[in-house]
Amino acid sequence: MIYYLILLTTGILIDFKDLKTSSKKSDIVFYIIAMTVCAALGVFFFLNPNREGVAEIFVKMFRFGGI
Amino acid sequence: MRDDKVSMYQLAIICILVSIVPIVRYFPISLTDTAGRGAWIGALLTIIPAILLVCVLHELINKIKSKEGKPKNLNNVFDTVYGKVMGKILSFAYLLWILIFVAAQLRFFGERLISTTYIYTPIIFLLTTMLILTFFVARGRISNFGRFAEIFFELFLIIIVFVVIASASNFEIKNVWPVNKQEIMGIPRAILRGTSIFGTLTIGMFFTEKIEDRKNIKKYGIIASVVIAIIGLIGVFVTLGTFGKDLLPTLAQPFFMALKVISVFGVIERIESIFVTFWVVADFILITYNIIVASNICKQRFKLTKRRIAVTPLVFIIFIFAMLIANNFFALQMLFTKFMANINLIFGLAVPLITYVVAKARGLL
Repeated sequence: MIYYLILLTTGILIDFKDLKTSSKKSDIVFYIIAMTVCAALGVFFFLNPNREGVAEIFVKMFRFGGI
Repeated sequence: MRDDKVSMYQLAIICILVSIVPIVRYFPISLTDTAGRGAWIGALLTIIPAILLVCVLHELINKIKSKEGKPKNLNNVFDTVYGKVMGKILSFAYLLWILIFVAAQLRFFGERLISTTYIYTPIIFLLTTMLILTFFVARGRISNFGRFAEIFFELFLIIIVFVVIASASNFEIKNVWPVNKQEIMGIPRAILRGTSIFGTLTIGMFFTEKIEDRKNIKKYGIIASVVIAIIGLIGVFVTLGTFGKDLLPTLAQPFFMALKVISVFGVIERIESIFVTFWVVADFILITYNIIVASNICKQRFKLTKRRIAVTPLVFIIFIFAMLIANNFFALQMLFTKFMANINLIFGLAVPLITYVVAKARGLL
Protein backbone atom coordinates (compact mmCIF):
# COMPACT_ATOMS: atom_id res chain seq x y z
CA MET A 1 0.00 0.00 0.00
CA ILE A 2 2.88 2.32 0.74
CA TYR A 3 4.08 2.06 -2.90
CA TYR A 4 0.59 2.87 -4.11
CA LEU A 5 0.46 5.98 -1.96
CA ILE A 6 3.93 7.00 -3.19
CA LEU A 7 2.73 6.67 -6.80
CA LEU A 8 -0.41 8.64 -5.96
CA THR A 9 1.67 11.44 -4.46
CA THR A 10 4.01 11.42 -7.47
CA GLY A 11 0.98 11.73 -9.79
CA ILE A 12 -0.28 14.70 -7.80
CA LEU A 13 3.16 16.36 -7.92
CA ILE A 14 3.30 15.90 -11.71
CA ASP A 15 -0.14 17.49 -12.05
CA PHE A 16 0.67 20.29 -9.59
CA LYS A 17 1.95 22.64 -12.31
CA ASP A 18 -1.22 22.24 -14.38
CA LEU A 19 -3.43 22.76 -11.35
CA LYS A 20 -1.47 25.82 -10.21
CA THR A 21 -1.84 27.56 -13.57
CA SER A 22 -5.51 26.60 -13.85
CA SER A 23 -7.84 29.51 -13.16
CA LYS A 24 -11.00 27.41 -13.00
CA LYS A 25 -12.36 26.16 -9.70
CA SER A 26 -13.99 23.13 -11.36
CA ASP A 27 -10.53 21.73 -12.27
CA ILE A 28 -9.38 21.66 -8.65
CA VAL A 29 -12.72 20.38 -7.30
CA PHE A 30 -12.77 17.55 -9.88
CA TYR A 31 -9.15 16.66 -9.17
CA ILE A 32 -9.53 16.54 -5.39
CA ILE A 33 -12.70 14.41 -5.54
CA ALA A 34 -11.27 12.04 -8.18
CA MET A 35 -7.97 11.54 -6.31
CA THR A 36 -9.83 10.95 -3.02
CA VAL A 37 -11.85 8.21 -4.77
CA CYS A 38 -8.59 6.72 -6.11
CA ALA A 39 -7.03 6.74 -2.64
CA ALA A 40 -10.15 5.19 -1.07
CA LEU A 41 -10.33 2.45 -3.73
CA GLY A 42 -6.61 1.77 -3.30
CA VAL A 43 -6.87 1.47 0.49
CA PHE A 44 -9.91 -0.85 0.10
CA PHE A 45 -8.01 -3.06 -2.33
CA PHE A 46 -4.80 -3.32 -0.34
CA LEU A 47 -6.60 -3.89 2.99
CA ASN A 48 -8.64 -6.81 1.56
CA PRO A 49 -6.09 -9.10 -0.07
CA ASN A 50 -8.29 -12.24 0.13
CA ARG A 51 -11.43 -10.77 -1.45
CA GLU A 52 -13.09 -12.37 -4.46
CA GLY A 53 -12.71 -10.80 -7.88
CA VAL A 54 -15.71 -9.32 -9.72
CA ALA A 55 -15.40 -12.02 -12.39
CA GLU A 56 -15.59 -14.87 -9.82
CA ILE A 57 -18.65 -13.29 -8.18
CA PHE A 58 -20.24 -12.86 -11.60
CA VAL A 59 -19.51 -16.44 -12.64
CA LYS A 60 -21.02 -17.78 -9.39
CA MET A 61 -24.05 -15.51 -9.68
CA PHE A 62 -24.94 -16.61 -13.21
CA ARG A 63 -23.69 -20.18 -12.66
CA PHE A 64 -21.46 -20.45 -15.69
CA GLY A 65 -19.69 -23.77 -15.69
CA GLY A 66 -16.07 -24.53 -16.33
CA ILE A 67 -14.39 -22.97 -13.30
CA MET B 1 2.29 25.73 -32.12
CA ARG B 2 0.27 23.55 -34.47
CA ASP B 3 -3.14 22.37 -33.23
CA ASP B 4 -3.11 19.05 -31.42
CA LYS B 5 -5.15 17.10 -33.97
CA VAL B 6 -5.09 13.78 -35.77
CA SER B 7 -6.33 12.99 -39.25
CA MET B 8 -9.18 10.59 -39.88
CA TYR B 9 -6.63 8.33 -41.57
CA GLN B 10 -4.63 8.17 -38.33
CA LEU B 11 -7.76 7.50 -36.27
CA ALA B 12 -8.68 4.66 -38.66
CA ILE B 13 -5.20 3.16 -38.15
CA ILE B 14 -5.52 3.49 -34.36
CA CYS B 15 -8.91 1.71 -34.54
CA ILE B 16 -7.40 -1.11 -36.61
CA LEU B 17 -4.53 -1.57 -34.15
CA VAL B 18 -6.89 -1.42 -31.16
CA SER B 19 -9.13 -4.11 -32.67
CA ILE B 20 -6.14 -6.47 -33.03
CA VAL B 21 -6.16 -7.07 -29.27
CA PRO B 22 -9.65 -8.67 -29.11
CA ILE B 23 -9.05 -10.45 -32.44
CA VAL B 24 -5.99 -12.16 -30.99
CA ARG B 25 -7.56 -12.72 -27.57
CA TYR B 26 -11.11 -13.99 -27.89
CA PHE B 27 -12.50 -13.38 -31.40
CA PRO B 28 -11.72 -16.86 -32.87
CA ILE B 29 -12.87 -18.67 -29.68
CA SER B 30 -16.08 -16.67 -29.49
CA LEU B 31 -16.99 -17.25 -33.13
CA THR B 32 -16.03 -20.92 -33.20
CA ASP B 33 -18.08 -21.46 -30.04
CA THR B 34 -21.24 -20.46 -31.91
CA ALA B 35 -20.60 -21.27 -35.58
CA GLY B 36 -18.04 -24.11 -35.47
CA ARG B 37 -16.35 -24.47 -38.85
CA GLY B 38 -18.49 -21.60 -40.15
CA ALA B 39 -16.66 -19.12 -37.86
CA TRP B 40 -14.70 -17.71 -40.81
CA ILE B 41 -17.96 -16.92 -42.65
CA GLY B 42 -19.15 -15.09 -39.52
CA ALA B 43 -15.84 -13.17 -39.35
CA LEU B 44 -16.17 -12.15 -43.00
CA LEU B 45 -19.81 -11.08 -42.69
CA THR B 46 -19.14 -8.82 -39.68
CA ILE B 47 -18.27 -6.29 -42.35
CA ILE B 48 -21.99 -5.65 -43.02
CA PRO B 49 -22.95 -4.32 -39.55
CA ALA B 50 -19.56 -2.55 -39.40
CA ILE B 51 -20.22 -0.56 -42.57
CA LEU B 52 -23.74 0.21 -41.31
CA LEU B 53 -22.21 1.50 -38.06
CA VAL B 54 -19.71 3.71 -39.92
CA CYS B 55 -22.50 5.24 -42.06
CA VAL B 56 -24.59 5.92 -38.93
CA LEU B 57 -21.65 7.54 -37.11
CA HIS B 58 -20.85 9.68 -40.16
CA GLU B 59 -24.44 10.93 -40.34
CA LEU B 60 -24.60 11.61 -36.59
CA ILE B 61 -21.35 13.56 -36.44
CA ASN B 62 -21.58 15.47 -39.73
CA LYS B 63 -25.24 15.94 -40.51
CA ILE B 64 -27.08 16.44 -37.24
CA LYS B 65 -28.62 19.89 -36.78
CA SER B 66 -28.63 21.59 -33.40
CA LYS B 67 -29.07 25.13 -32.05
CA GLU B 68 -25.32 25.42 -31.35
CA GLY B 69 -24.42 24.39 -34.91
CA LYS B 70 -22.57 21.20 -35.77
CA PRO B 71 -21.86 18.84 -32.83
CA LYS B 72 -18.28 18.74 -31.57
CA ASN B 73 -18.41 15.03 -30.80
CA LEU B 74 -20.71 12.21 -29.67
CA ASN B 75 -21.36 13.96 -26.31
CA ASN B 76 -22.98 16.86 -28.18
CA VAL B 77 -24.92 14.43 -30.38
CA PHE B 78 -26.41 12.80 -27.26
CA ASP B 79 -27.26 16.22 -25.81
CA THR B 80 -29.02 17.25 -29.02
CA VAL B 81 -30.91 14.01 -29.56
CA TYR B 82 -31.86 13.04 -26.00
CA GLY B 83 -31.62 16.33 -24.10
CA LYS B 84 -29.00 17.51 -21.60
CA VAL B 85 -29.86 15.15 -18.70
CA MET B 86 -30.13 11.95 -20.75
CA GLY B 87 -27.08 13.02 -22.79
CA LYS B 88 -25.02 13.34 -19.60
CA ILE B 89 -26.25 9.99 -18.29
CA LEU B 90 -25.25 8.31 -21.56
CA SER B 91 -21.82 9.98 -21.55
CA PHE B 92 -21.16 8.82 -17.99
CA ALA B 93 -22.34 5.31 -18.89
CA TYR B 94 -19.80 5.32 -21.73
CA LEU B 95 -17.11 6.67 -19.40
CA LEU B 96 -17.76 3.94 -16.83
CA TRP B 97 -17.84 1.29 -19.53
CA ILE B 98 -14.53 2.48 -21.02
CA LEU B 99 -12.89 2.32 -17.57
CA ILE B 100 -14.16 -1.23 -16.91
CA PHE B 101 -13.27 -2.35 -20.43
CA VAL B 102 -9.73 -0.96 -20.22
CA ALA B 103 -9.28 -2.47 -16.76
CA ALA B 104 -10.25 -5.90 -18.15
CA GLN B 105 -7.91 -5.47 -21.12
CA LEU B 106 -5.09 -4.38 -18.81
CA ARG B 107 -5.63 -7.44 -16.65
CA PHE B 108 -5.66 -9.64 -19.75
CA PHE B 109 -2.37 -8.05 -20.80
CA GLY B 110 -0.79 -8.92 -17.44
CA GLU B 111 -2.23 -12.44 -17.29
CA ARG B 112 -1.09 -13.18 -20.84
CA LEU B 113 2.46 -12.02 -20.21
CA ILE B 114 2.58 -14.13 -17.06
CA SER B 115 1.24 -17.22 -18.80
CA THR B 116 3.53 -16.90 -21.83
CA THR B 117 6.76 -15.12 -20.95
CA TYR B 118 7.25 -13.73 -17.41
CA ILE B 119 5.99 -16.67 -15.36
CA TYR B 120 7.33 -15.63 -11.94
CA THR B 121 6.75 -11.89 -12.23
CA PRO B 122 4.10 -10.34 -9.93
CA ILE B 123 1.19 -9.08 -12.05
CA ILE B 124 1.09 -5.79 -10.14
CA PHE B 125 4.55 -4.96 -11.51
CA LEU B 126 3.48 -5.57 -15.15
CA LEU B 127 0.30 -3.52 -14.77
CA THR B 128 2.11 -0.63 -13.10
CA THR B 129 4.81 -0.55 -15.79
CA MET B 130 2.23 -0.41 -18.57
CA LEU B 131 0.18 2.26 -16.81
CA ILE B 132 3.19 4.49 -16.15
CA LEU B 133 3.98 4.44 -19.87
CA THR B 134 0.38 5.09 -20.93
CA PHE B 135 0.13 7.86 -18.31
CA PHE B 136 2.89 9.90 -19.93
CA VAL B 137 1.70 9.25 -23.50
CA ALA B 138 -1.97 9.99 -22.73
CA ARG B 139 -0.95 13.29 -21.11
CA GLY B 140 0.99 14.27 -24.21
CA ARG B 141 -0.14 15.38 -27.65
CA ILE B 142 -2.65 13.22 -29.52
CA SER B 143 -0.93 14.04 -32.82
CA ASN B 144 2.28 12.33 -31.60
CA PHE B 145 0.31 9.27 -30.61
CA GLY B 146 -1.37 9.23 -34.04
CA ARG B 147 2.00 9.37 -35.81
CA PHE B 148 3.37 6.56 -33.64
CA ALA B 149 0.37 4.38 -34.60
CA GLU B 150 0.94 5.23 -38.26
CA ILE B 151 4.56 4.03 -38.14
CA PHE B 152 3.73 0.95 -36.11
CA PHE B 153 0.96 -0.02 -38.54
CA GLU B 154 3.44 -0.55 -41.37
CA LEU B 155 5.49 -2.87 -39.18
CA PHE B 156 2.33 -4.68 -38.21
CA LEU B 157 1.38 -5.31 -41.86
CA ILE B 158 4.74 -6.96 -42.47
CA ILE B 159 4.22 -9.22 -39.44
CA ILE B 160 0.69 -10.18 -40.54
CA VAL B 161 1.86 -11.12 -44.05
CA PHE B 162 4.65 -13.21 -42.52
CA VAL B 163 2.22 -14.97 -40.11
CA VAL B 164 -0.16 -15.82 -42.96
CA ILE B 165 2.62 -17.32 -45.10
CA ALA B 166 4.25 -19.16 -42.20
CA SER B 167 1.01 -20.63 -40.81
CA ALA B 168 -0.01 -22.04 -44.19
CA SER B 169 1.95 -25.24 -43.48
CA ASN B 170 -0.24 -26.07 -40.42
CA PHE B 171 -3.50 -25.14 -42.07
CA GLU B 172 -5.88 -28.03 -42.70
CA ILE B 173 -8.81 -27.48 -45.03
CA LYS B 174 -10.97 -30.04 -43.20
CA ASN B 175 -11.00 -27.73 -40.16
CA VAL B 176 -12.87 -24.99 -42.04
CA TRP B 177 -14.83 -26.89 -44.70
CA PRO B 178 -17.48 -28.30 -45.15
CA VAL B 179 -19.80 -26.18 -43.01
CA ASN B 180 -22.87 -28.17 -41.93
CA LYS B 181 -26.44 -26.91 -41.52
CA GLN B 182 -26.21 -26.53 -37.73
CA GLU B 183 -23.07 -24.40 -38.10
CA ILE B 184 -24.76 -22.22 -40.72
CA MET B 185 -27.58 -21.60 -38.22
CA GLY B 186 -24.99 -20.34 -35.73
CA ILE B 187 -23.47 -17.81 -38.15
CA PRO B 188 -25.91 -14.91 -37.38
CA ARG B 189 -25.02 -15.21 -33.68
CA ALA B 190 -21.34 -15.34 -34.58
CA ILE B 191 -21.73 -12.15 -36.64
CA LEU B 192 -23.33 -10.41 -33.65
CA ARG B 193 -20.54 -11.54 -31.33
CA GLY B 194 -17.87 -10.56 -33.85
CA THR B 195 -19.35 -7.11 -34.41
CA SER B 196 -18.42 -6.10 -30.85
CA ILE B 197 -14.82 -5.50 -31.99
CA PHE B 198 -15.98 -2.54 -34.11
CA GLY B 199 -17.00 -0.68 -30.93
CA THR B 200 -13.61 1.07 -31.11
CA LEU B 201 -14.95 3.15 -34.02
CA THR B 202 -17.81 4.44 -31.85
CA ILE B 203 -15.45 5.25 -28.97
CA GLY B 204 -13.33 7.30 -31.39
CA MET B 205 -16.29 9.58 -32.08
CA PHE B 206 -15.91 11.04 -28.58
CA PHE B 207 -13.01 13.18 -29.74
CA THR B 208 -14.04 14.20 -33.25
CA GLU B 209 -13.21 17.83 -32.41
CA LYS B 210 -9.58 16.64 -32.50
CA ILE B 211 -9.98 15.23 -36.02
CA GLU B 212 -8.87 17.47 -38.86
CA ASP B 213 -11.03 16.00 -41.64
CA ARG B 214 -14.17 14.68 -40.00
CA LYS B 215 -15.94 14.76 -43.36
CA ASN B 216 -13.92 11.64 -44.21
CA ILE B 217 -15.37 9.53 -41.38
CA LYS B 218 -17.32 7.41 -43.87
CA LYS B 219 -14.41 6.93 -46.30
CA TYR B 220 -11.72 5.95 -43.79
CA GLY B 221 -14.24 4.25 -41.48
CA ILE B 222 -15.25 1.85 -44.24
CA ILE B 223 -11.59 1.19 -45.13
CA ALA B 224 -10.85 0.51 -41.44
CA SER B 225 -13.87 -1.83 -41.18
CA VAL B 226 -12.73 -3.81 -44.22
CA VAL B 227 -9.17 -4.10 -42.87
CA ILE B 228 -10.41 -5.14 -39.39
CA ALA B 229 -12.70 -7.76 -40.95
CA ILE B 230 -9.83 -9.14 -43.06
CA ILE B 231 -7.53 -9.31 -40.03
CA GLY B 232 -10.35 -11.01 -38.09
CA LEU B 233 -10.70 -13.49 -40.94
CA ILE B 234 -6.95 -14.17 -40.87
CA GLY B 235 -7.14 -14.64 -37.08
CA VAL B 236 -9.92 -17.21 -37.45
CA PHE B 237 -8.20 -19.01 -40.34
CA VAL B 238 -4.85 -19.24 -38.52
CA THR B 239 -6.38 -20.64 -35.29
CA LEU B 240 -9.35 -22.63 -36.62
CA GLY B 241 -7.34 -24.01 -39.56
CA THR B 242 -4.62 -25.20 -37.17
CA PHE B 243 -6.62 -26.58 -34.20
CA GLY B 244 -10.11 -27.32 -35.52
CA LYS B 245 -13.49 -26.48 -33.99
CA ASP B 246 -13.31 -28.98 -31.10
CA LEU B 247 -9.91 -28.02 -29.73
CA LEU B 248 -9.97 -24.25 -30.33
CA PRO B 249 -12.64 -23.23 -27.72
CA THR B 250 -10.71 -25.10 -25.00
CA LEU B 251 -7.47 -23.14 -25.53
CA ALA B 252 -6.68 -20.09 -23.40
CA GLN B 253 -4.25 -18.52 -25.90
CA PRO B 254 -5.13 -20.01 -29.32
CA PHE B 255 -3.31 -17.45 -31.44
CA PHE B 256 -0.18 -17.77 -29.37
CA MET B 257 -0.35 -21.58 -29.57
CA ALA B 258 -0.88 -21.41 -33.35
CA LEU B 259 2.24 -19.29 -33.71
CA LYS B 260 4.18 -21.59 -31.42
CA VAL B 261 3.72 -24.58 -33.73
CA ILE B 262 4.78 -22.63 -36.84
CA SER B 263 7.93 -23.96 -38.46
CA VAL B 264 9.18 -22.82 -41.87
CA PHE B 265 11.20 -25.75 -43.31
CA GLY B 266 12.58 -26.34 -39.81
CA VAL B 267 14.69 -23.17 -40.17
CA ILE B 268 12.44 -20.42 -38.78
CA GLU B 269 10.78 -21.45 -35.50
CA ARG B 270 9.56 -19.89 -32.21
CA ILE B 271 8.31 -16.75 -33.92
CA GLU B 272 5.82 -16.20 -31.06
CA SER B 273 8.43 -14.07 -29.27
CA ILE B 274 8.17 -11.49 -32.08
CA PHE B 275 4.42 -11.56 -31.76
CA VAL B 276 4.47 -11.12 -27.95
CA THR B 277 6.35 -7.86 -28.48
CA PHE B 278 3.78 -6.83 -31.00
CA TRP B 279 0.89 -7.73 -28.66
CA VAL B 280 2.36 -5.60 -25.92
CA VAL B 281 2.51 -2.57 -28.26
CA ALA B 282 -1.07 -3.26 -29.45
CA ASP B 283 -2.18 -3.42 -25.80
CA PHE B 284 -0.36 -0.17 -25.12
CA ILE B 285 -2.18 1.51 -28.03
CA LEU B 286 -5.56 0.16 -26.86
CA ILE B 287 -5.11 1.35 -23.27
CA THR B 288 -3.72 4.78 -24.26
CA TYR B 289 -6.45 5.34 -26.85
CA ASN B 290 -9.19 4.55 -24.32
CA ILE B 291 -7.60 6.75 -21.64
CA ILE B 292 -7.41 9.64 -24.14
CA VAL B 293 -11.12 9.18 -25.01
CA ALA B 294 -12.12 8.87 -21.33
CA SER B 295 -10.15 11.99 -20.40
CA ASN B 296 -11.81 13.88 -23.26
CA ILE B 297 -15.26 12.86 -21.98
CA CYS B 298 -14.22 14.04 -18.48
CA LYS B 299 -12.94 17.33 -19.91
CA GLN B 300 -16.24 18.08 -21.61
CA ARG B 301 -18.61 16.78 -18.95
CA PHE B 302 -16.78 18.20 -15.90
CA LYS B 303 -15.92 21.42 -17.78
CA LEU B 304 -12.17 21.09 -17.25
CA THR B 305 -9.70 23.48 -18.88
CA LYS B 306 -7.24 20.74 -19.91
CA ARG B 307 -7.77 17.10 -20.83
CA ARG B 308 -4.57 16.04 -19.06
CA ILE B 309 -5.94 16.98 -15.62
CA ALA B 310 -8.27 13.95 -15.83
CA VAL B 311 -5.55 11.49 -16.91
CA THR B 312 -3.95 10.84 -13.47
CA PRO B 313 -7.20 9.92 -11.65
CA LEU B 314 -8.31 7.77 -14.59
CA VAL B 315 -5.04 5.84 -14.61
CA PHE B 316 -5.30 5.09 -10.87
CA ILE B 317 -8.98 4.05 -11.16
CA ILE B 318 -8.13 1.72 -14.06
CA PHE B 319 -5.30 0.19 -12.01
CA ILE B 320 -7.60 -0.54 -9.06
CA PHE B 321 -10.37 -1.87 -11.35
CA ALA B 322 -7.83 -4.14 -13.05
CA MET B 323 -6.77 -5.55 -9.68
CA LEU B 324 -10.35 -5.99 -8.46
CA ILE B 325 -11.85 -7.46 -11.64
CA ALA B 326 -10.59 -11.05 -11.36
CA ASN B 327 -8.22 -13.33 -9.49
CA ASN B 328 -7.65 -15.82 -12.28
CA PHE B 329 -7.44 -15.85 -16.05
CA PHE B 330 -10.32 -18.26 -16.70
CA ALA B 331 -12.88 -16.27 -14.69
CA LEU B 332 -11.75 -13.13 -16.52
CA GLN B 333 -12.07 -14.83 -19.90
CA MET B 334 -15.54 -16.09 -19.01
CA LEU B 335 -16.61 -12.65 -17.80
CA PHE B 336 -15.37 -11.18 -21.06
CA THR B 337 -16.84 -13.64 -23.54
CA LYS B 338 -20.20 -14.16 -21.77
CA PHE B 339 -20.85 -10.65 -20.57
CA MET B 340 -18.48 -7.84 -21.54
CA ALA B 341 -18.46 -8.60 -25.29
CA ASN B 342 -22.27 -8.22 -25.28
CA ILE B 343 -22.12 -4.93 -23.38
CA ASN B 344 -19.50 -3.81 -25.90
CA LEU B 345 -22.03 -4.59 -28.63
CA ILE B 346 -24.66 -2.44 -26.90
CA PHE B 347 -22.35 0.57 -26.49
CA GLY B 348 -20.53 0.08 -29.77
CA LEU B 349 -23.42 -0.67 -32.12
CA ALA B 350 -26.88 -0.53 -30.50
CA VAL B 351 -26.66 2.93 -28.89
CA PRO B 352 -25.47 4.72 -32.09
CA LEU B 353 -28.18 2.93 -34.12
CA ILE B 354 -30.92 3.87 -31.62
CA THR B 355 -29.59 7.44 -31.52
CA TYR B 356 -29.76 7.58 -35.32
CA VAL B 357 -33.38 6.34 -35.34
CA VAL B 358 -34.41 8.81 -32.62
CA ALA B 359 -32.63 11.68 -34.43
CA LYS B 360 -34.40 10.76 -37.66
CA ALA B 361 -37.76 10.55 -35.88
CA ARG B 362 -37.22 13.96 -34.29
CA GLY B 363 -36.26 15.50 -37.63
CA LEU B 364 -32.71 16.30 -36.51
CA LEU B 365 -31.17 14.58 -39.54
